Amino acid sequence: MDKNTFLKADEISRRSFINKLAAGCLGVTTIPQLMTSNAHAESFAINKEAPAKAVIYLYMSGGLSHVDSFDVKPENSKVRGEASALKTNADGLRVSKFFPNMAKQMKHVAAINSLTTTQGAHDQGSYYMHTSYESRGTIVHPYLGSWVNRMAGNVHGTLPANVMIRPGGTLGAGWMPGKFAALPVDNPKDGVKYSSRHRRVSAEQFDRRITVLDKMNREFQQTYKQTSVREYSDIYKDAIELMSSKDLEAFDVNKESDKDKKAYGTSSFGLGCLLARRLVQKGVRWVEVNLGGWDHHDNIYGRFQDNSSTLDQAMAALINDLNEKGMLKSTLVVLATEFGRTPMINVNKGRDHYPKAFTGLLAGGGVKGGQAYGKTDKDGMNVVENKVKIPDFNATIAHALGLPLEQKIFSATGRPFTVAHKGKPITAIF
Amino acid sequence: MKQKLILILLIIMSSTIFAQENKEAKYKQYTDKIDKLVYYGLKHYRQRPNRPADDYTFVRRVYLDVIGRIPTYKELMAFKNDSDPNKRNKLIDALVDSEGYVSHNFNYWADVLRITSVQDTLYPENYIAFVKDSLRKNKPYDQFVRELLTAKGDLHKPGNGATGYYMRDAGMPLDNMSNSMKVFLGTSMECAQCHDHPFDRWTQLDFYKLAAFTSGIEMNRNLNYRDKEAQAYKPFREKFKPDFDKSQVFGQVLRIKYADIRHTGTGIIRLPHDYDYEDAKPFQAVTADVPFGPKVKPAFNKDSEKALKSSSKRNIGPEVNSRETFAKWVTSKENPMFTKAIVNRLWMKLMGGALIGDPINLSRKGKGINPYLTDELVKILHTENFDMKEFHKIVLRSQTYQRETSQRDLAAGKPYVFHAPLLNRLTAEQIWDSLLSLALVNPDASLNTKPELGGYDYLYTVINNLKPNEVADHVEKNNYGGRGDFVRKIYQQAEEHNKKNAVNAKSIATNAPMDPSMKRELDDLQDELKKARKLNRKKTVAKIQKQISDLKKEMNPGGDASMSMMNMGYKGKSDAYARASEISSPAPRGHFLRQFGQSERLVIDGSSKEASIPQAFTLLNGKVEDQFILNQNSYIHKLISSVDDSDEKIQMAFLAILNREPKYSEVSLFKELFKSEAKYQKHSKTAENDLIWTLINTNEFIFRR
Repeated sequence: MDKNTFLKADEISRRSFINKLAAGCLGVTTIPQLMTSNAHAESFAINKEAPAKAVIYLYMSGGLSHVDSFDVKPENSKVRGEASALKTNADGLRVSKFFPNMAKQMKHVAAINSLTTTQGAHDQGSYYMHTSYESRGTIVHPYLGSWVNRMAGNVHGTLPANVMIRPGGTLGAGWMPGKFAALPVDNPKDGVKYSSRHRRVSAEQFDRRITVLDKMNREFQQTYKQTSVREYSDIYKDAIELMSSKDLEAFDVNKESDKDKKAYGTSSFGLGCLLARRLVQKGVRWVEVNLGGWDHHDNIYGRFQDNSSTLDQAMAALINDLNEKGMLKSTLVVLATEFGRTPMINVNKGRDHYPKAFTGLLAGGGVKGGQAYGKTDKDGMNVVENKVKIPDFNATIAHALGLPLEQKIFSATGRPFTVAHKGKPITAIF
Repeated sequence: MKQKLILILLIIMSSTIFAQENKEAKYKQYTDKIDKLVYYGLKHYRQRPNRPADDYTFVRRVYLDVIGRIPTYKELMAFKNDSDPNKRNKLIDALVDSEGYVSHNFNYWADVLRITSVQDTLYPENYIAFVKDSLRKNKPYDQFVRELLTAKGDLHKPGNGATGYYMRDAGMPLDNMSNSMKVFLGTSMECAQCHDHPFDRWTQLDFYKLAAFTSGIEMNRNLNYRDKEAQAYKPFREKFKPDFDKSQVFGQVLRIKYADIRHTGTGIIRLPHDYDYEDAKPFQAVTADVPFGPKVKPAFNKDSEKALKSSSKRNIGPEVNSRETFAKWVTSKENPMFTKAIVNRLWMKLMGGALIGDPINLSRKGKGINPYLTDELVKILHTENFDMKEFHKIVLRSQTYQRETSQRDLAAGKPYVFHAPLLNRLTAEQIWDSLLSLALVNPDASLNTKPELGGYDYLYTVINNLKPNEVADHVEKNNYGGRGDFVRKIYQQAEEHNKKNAVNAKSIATNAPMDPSMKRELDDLQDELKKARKLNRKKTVAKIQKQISDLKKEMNPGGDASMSMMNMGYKGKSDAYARASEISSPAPRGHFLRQFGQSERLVIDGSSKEASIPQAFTLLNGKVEDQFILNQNSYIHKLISSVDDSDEKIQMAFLAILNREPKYSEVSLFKELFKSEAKYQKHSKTAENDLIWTLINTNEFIFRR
């Protein structure tokens, strides 16, 4: 008996294995087992006219220095450091010399130079940026990707709505059911982890194994006709099906052309961005790609350029690629980080955490490019115009996607929450 | 003289037998009552109890429920072949009294208490050691809780790990109060932190009055700059500043030395600035009060009166030990929620379904589907003075626990009235530890019974008595490098320290109670060795010595199982074969445990048993293949290779992995597989690999019946 007979043998209709794929792989649901009762269908008032259909969220963990990237202060020698300014293809917009490729894309980009956060430590800052809520000891909030997953679902097809590309797993779905968590991709080169046969097991051997396994599991399920057992039977079926499925190809960045790989860069982050574009093209709603290593407390210019060139190349290629493919209008590209860095260089030639003022970027997805929103003073220390709080920034993303900002969702314990926690979207930039 | 001795011996022996018999009589009184009450409950709901579970089912279940893993083949067979009619009770006692109980229950409490690092700078080893030690010593539960709630002093001082309870919520005393109410009293009132509870009776004022008990508590993650000593560090801080690495390490060393919990509580708290109800005003000072149960009041003094009248907006007031007042109220036998909450938890842990309801959200009056049973269990725990092991031994002995699980879900609308334990997916930790039971001959041998010092706790002992200039010297001299290097180094040093102070390998191995046959073998060999030495037979001595050393290696396989598949990081054991309770808490992201739903330790009871495709992928194609299937040194492979006949191999594999004998149809299924592999593959191990792989991948393996 071969694998195909095995697969056809059971006539359970094809369920959304993708939900299962995401569920639980993060090892956390915050809902006690007792409370996971039958969820009923939800409806959300999505604005169908909203420009953005998908988001690629580039997260710089560690704290990207605003004054060394997109809020340069070349006239101020106390702050400038080595970050001299480059003119960009957008009038009046400048970037630091570390972002020459981005300089050519700024006409697509709105730089939000007036971000401000309340959190000065990495974990708390990242949590706040991702969820719009400050971290508490009694609940875990879902991050924006899970809200998008829950409210908007996937764009089309059987792919997941929410993917996170970063080493070592992903964030959970907070108080939301586990199925709204992101599907983790550890390494963009490998796609979904362990989704192909072990190298020491031949195809024939694998078939022989699952033939026996199937018989064993059927018998167990016939004896124990219980929901939890059936779930595992289904999961195995789905997993084996997925191993040879076309859907898995969406995760195979190796299918992209060498030209594209070269354009994005072969770093993990570069390939991650390329994979993100591939996934969005196939119908994924939300992809986060993570780049760490920005925590430059000492000797900032010894290491900043390694990271900035990776980011510069990949992000510029991503915007360019989306634009050429006609996808930029409907795809919002976000650059986010937990906080900025002290404009004054410290005794160790580094910069420390700076929550008071920093920069994020928005490109595509209906956002007008070539503009800066908000302003810091000449030292980059204080926001002097159009302060944007974290919930406001996230509300802007949600707004671009047409999510209902006012609609409450209740946690299992009955606490009401809204996407972006009552933030006000920056409508002026659209 | 000799006769007298024999007589004494006889008396001692018979008295221990009597003691055991008396004990069994006591247990029987309890279990009869439990079973009777369960029976009445079932009758009331027109349900019937299931039939008793057979030995195989029982032994697998009790191993999983008490020590968190399946029995090894040897353990299973030892039980099977024991003809003592009292063997179930014997096994229950042996398991509950073993180190495996500590390991399994630690995993449980780590999830409840959310044991994890504080902001990535303070690791929880000392807290972990405290919880494990409390379980090991079978500290009465009420005492355990009191020690957590009244903990104070240095965080890293060995033995003072209870301080980790408050430190877990450093800077969030109100959240901590919400968590205490949930964990220890099954009472969910966090809504009232910010406003009157929308659908419960709690008001925001109620909550603040409660929070007043812990008001004043200081959770210092760092050297407190209001302390006199802080001044003395200033010059050194300046001195290290230009050297980034050193100044980072210096900061971390100060954290280790000074992180602490202070203040016994003022009993006075000020309402928040946005307090919006008519019964009080913003910033008004209110005194501690409890929302239910016996009324208690902190011993306020004259200074308390002054603080109450003060117009300050800060929380001020003298220490009046209000935390202890609170702890006593929480753990009082008169508190209507305390015993109920823990009994509900323990019952749920063993039976698979709740006695009363959601452990963190019980109603004040609710006693569940069978209130008489709830009352009885509460009474038992009171009579036994919160002896957790006794409680386990009682419930495990009941017929109710020892019934066969149902094959079907309860019909819609039918309540669970405890007709039998429920079929349950194993926890992530149970799955992982069970896999280890297939890889190691004696999986409990490596469990550390001696409280080891974590890196930070070790460093604390080194620097605790140093003066500020000496602390600076220490940092200067040790040349720790950057913070990453520093952590690695102190963990190395701690490991060396622990090794020096550890009981030797042999006594660890023989401490483990789970492998009586090997222990017997070892004892026999040692006797023979003595004899051979006496007779001065050198060759025989050498031969026996080698046999002993081989056997020891087998008993304590940590050494030879050196496939380092995963890097666990410095916070836990780096051995790929470390038990779930000895890996960092929680395990690193991406670890098998996390994939199968280990709690992230962010919320109470955060673990999950949800099925997911990545789990299936891990078992189908992942590291399990390398670590447990291809690894020919694993216990399961050695076992199966020790017999030639394929029938016997199949039989053994079923016993070892699923802990039952294969059915006839199953034997032929695998025999066919053996035949076809023989046809396709030259490598004779392939069929054995397939056999093990298949049984590990069955759903049966990850379920507890």
